[in-house]
Amino acid sequence: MDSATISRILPRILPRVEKPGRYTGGELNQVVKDWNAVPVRIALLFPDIYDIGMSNLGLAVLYEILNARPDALAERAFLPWQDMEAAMRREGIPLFALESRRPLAEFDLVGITLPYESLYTNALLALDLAGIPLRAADRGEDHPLIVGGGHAAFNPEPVAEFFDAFAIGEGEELALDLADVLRRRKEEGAGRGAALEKISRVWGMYVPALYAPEYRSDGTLIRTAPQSGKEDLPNPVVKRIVPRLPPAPVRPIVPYLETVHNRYAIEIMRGCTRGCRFCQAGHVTRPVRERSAADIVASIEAALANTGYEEVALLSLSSSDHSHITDLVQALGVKFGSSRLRISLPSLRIETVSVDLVEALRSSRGGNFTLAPEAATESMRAVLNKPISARQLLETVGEIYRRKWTTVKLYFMIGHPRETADDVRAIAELARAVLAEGRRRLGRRAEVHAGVSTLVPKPHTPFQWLAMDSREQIAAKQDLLRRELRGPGIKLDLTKPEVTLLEARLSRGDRRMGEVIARAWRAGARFDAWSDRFRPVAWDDAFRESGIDPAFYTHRERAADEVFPWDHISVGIRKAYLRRQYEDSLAGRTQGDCRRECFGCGILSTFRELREALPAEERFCPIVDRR
Amino acid sequence: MTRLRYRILFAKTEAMRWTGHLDLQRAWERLLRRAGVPIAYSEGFHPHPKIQIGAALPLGVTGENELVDIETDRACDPDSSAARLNGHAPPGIRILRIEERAEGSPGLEKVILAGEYAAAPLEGAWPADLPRRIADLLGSSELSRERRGKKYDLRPRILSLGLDGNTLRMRLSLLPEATGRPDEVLAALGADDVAAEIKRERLVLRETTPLRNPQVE
Repeated sequence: MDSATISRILPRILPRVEKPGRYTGGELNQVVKDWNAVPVRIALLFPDIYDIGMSNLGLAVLYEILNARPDALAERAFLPWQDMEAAMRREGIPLFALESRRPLAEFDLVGITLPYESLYTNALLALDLAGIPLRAADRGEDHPLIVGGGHAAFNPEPVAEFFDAFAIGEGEELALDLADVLRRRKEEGAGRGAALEKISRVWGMYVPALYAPEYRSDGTLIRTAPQSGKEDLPNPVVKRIVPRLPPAPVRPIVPYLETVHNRYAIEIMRGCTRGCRFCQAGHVTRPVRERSAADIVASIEAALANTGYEEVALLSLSSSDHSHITDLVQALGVKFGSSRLRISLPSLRIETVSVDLVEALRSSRGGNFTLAPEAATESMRAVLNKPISARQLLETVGEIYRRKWTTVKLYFMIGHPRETADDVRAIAELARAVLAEGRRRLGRRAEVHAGVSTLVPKPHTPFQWLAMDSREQIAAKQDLLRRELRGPGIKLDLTKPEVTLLEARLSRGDRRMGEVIARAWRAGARFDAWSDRFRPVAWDDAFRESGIDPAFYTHRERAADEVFPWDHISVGIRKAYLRRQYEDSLAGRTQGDCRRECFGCGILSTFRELREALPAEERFCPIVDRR
Repeated sequence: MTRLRYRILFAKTEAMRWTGHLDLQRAWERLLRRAGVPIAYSEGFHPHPKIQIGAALPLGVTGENELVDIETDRACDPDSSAARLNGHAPPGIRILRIEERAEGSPGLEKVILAGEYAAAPLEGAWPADLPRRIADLLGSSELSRERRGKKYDLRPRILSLGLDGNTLRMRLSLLPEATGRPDEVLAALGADDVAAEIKRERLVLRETTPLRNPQVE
């Protein structure tokens, strides 16, 4: 079906679906290029509905960077909601890009962003709706190259068979390199295999078909390495980084519909120096790179002029750690203090200074303030390497309520190594102590919301050796919390054990998981991140039918020398460093901020050349004495 | 602070027609901000911009002469503001005219009486006996229909209805609590399985209002 036919049918079906604006494109700042005048055509697919996908910053970044190239075009695609999916299947409309309404199958490359593992089945749904074979091996010369990226691609193995390639790491420069390869391929008329061969030599690209895993009889890995004859391919594949953050997008598309985050978002800093041991983002995004306060203010100003947004979010993993955060907040106050702009500064450290920062940006009273102590006892926080004292937390909370925020949201996790019932009970006690502090300041208006998730021992973190809690352990801990944490002013939000277990299995899986994912998908699993559409039974059946025991991936303490399915993908951190961190964790030893002391994680040696090419004042990772 | 009031005549077309009333409200806020129009805000705990869009358009229906009232903190020249707004307008919004509105003059909810709609099949044609169905409908004294689980009588909300070639023209009430929807009329005619392009060509206003482009009664 061609774009003209799709355009003709759409007005007939749109009045009968919910939120038709999801499927029309045509928003402010959308870029529509002349298809025939541009050699490189890339579709950027977020495998969930428009409302979710349009809030993704990575998509906006790639869209602006690729469309800035005169020889390339990038268009957006999202999954339809059930009603529209049914209508599209009935009418024979394939998944299409919003800008040109061309079917995805007409593009040279479809980039699928995978920020979390629960989107894997949605990626299959997208390929199916696009009429593109699900398995890379079944695609022919005329099919687009299917490239995955995002944080869930740091262990690409579970979905390796569905993708032609993965972009490992940061996309700003990688996307341009890929566009170059696509352009040359078109000029030379090169075949699919030759193009993938070229792509496999681009820094940060991983072409899974050129690598093969070898297993022992007990099911563990011997290695994953390039196929014979391809020994010169990178091993490990080292993630791509940009030495300095390029200018932020300033002309993002402004959705007409209310999306999850309908605002201008700007990354003020990438990476984190704190070393929280459970945190995958903190490890895979190293090293820390910051944008200057002046650049941030200038980008916000330009973006507001281009969008008219009423809200700005300053994003990072730990905003308080931006070296010029106070200057930045001050500059924003000077520039936008008299306007009605709402500015949010999430991910702050638990200290009263953070409250000052948010207060300075605040435009109205009331509302909620979020803190993430993660654990409630000092011993658990030492295990996690998030050392904050209860006194410090209560002092901060006191300041929050004193300044008339009525609700404090606290994020905790259960399932930490060596966690006891007392550690779990302490979460309830701490939440109650926080509420008491609020009552003291605000009376009965004070509220506390506790969000408690369950630790997933993620790849590329010190906890990757850890056996996670079983369903029964999680249920028992959650029951304890439900009993201990109730009453007026308290809200408790628990992540369903099935959701966490699926995330763990998918994030820790190897290539054999591909069969499970395909089976679950065929049995109707999709939109696994949506509680009303999540079908745990489809997954349980898929594991059973595939003869794969999920506990093998999640409930087994790994040997120190076990080869992981993601070991041939390097985020720049040495495995020996992660192992030492794991052992320190079990011993309750903490580690400080790596801006002040280098702990030798490996980033510095992996990216030494890149670092040294930068002017001295822009270099990431200060070289300081090893401990 | 002196507040100045303006009434803006605009067209809502293209992809914009698939967005609802609240989305349009937000699109207007952002457009005014981009264009640097000094929009006034309400007092109170959660101030909101003083933008009032006349009678909501049903999803998918385009509007050729729609109205929005705004209040500003400073005086704006209507003609140059219209040009500036058009320079910043998103696809699907076009500003046609701006007029100043006297303080104390009635708001849009008080002046909009009705809307004139034109519906034409996107492909193919209306059912052959549509003229008879129209006559039957106009001849009936009551048309009981349901909207959001509430029963109401559609008949008094249809002020006029007729075929003009292949275009079905209708004038429907837009009085608060008595709005007629073009898709409901098509359903009452049994013609709702024909995919149609529906336009609201103009709003019908009471005489007291500026902006005479919409038809005045």
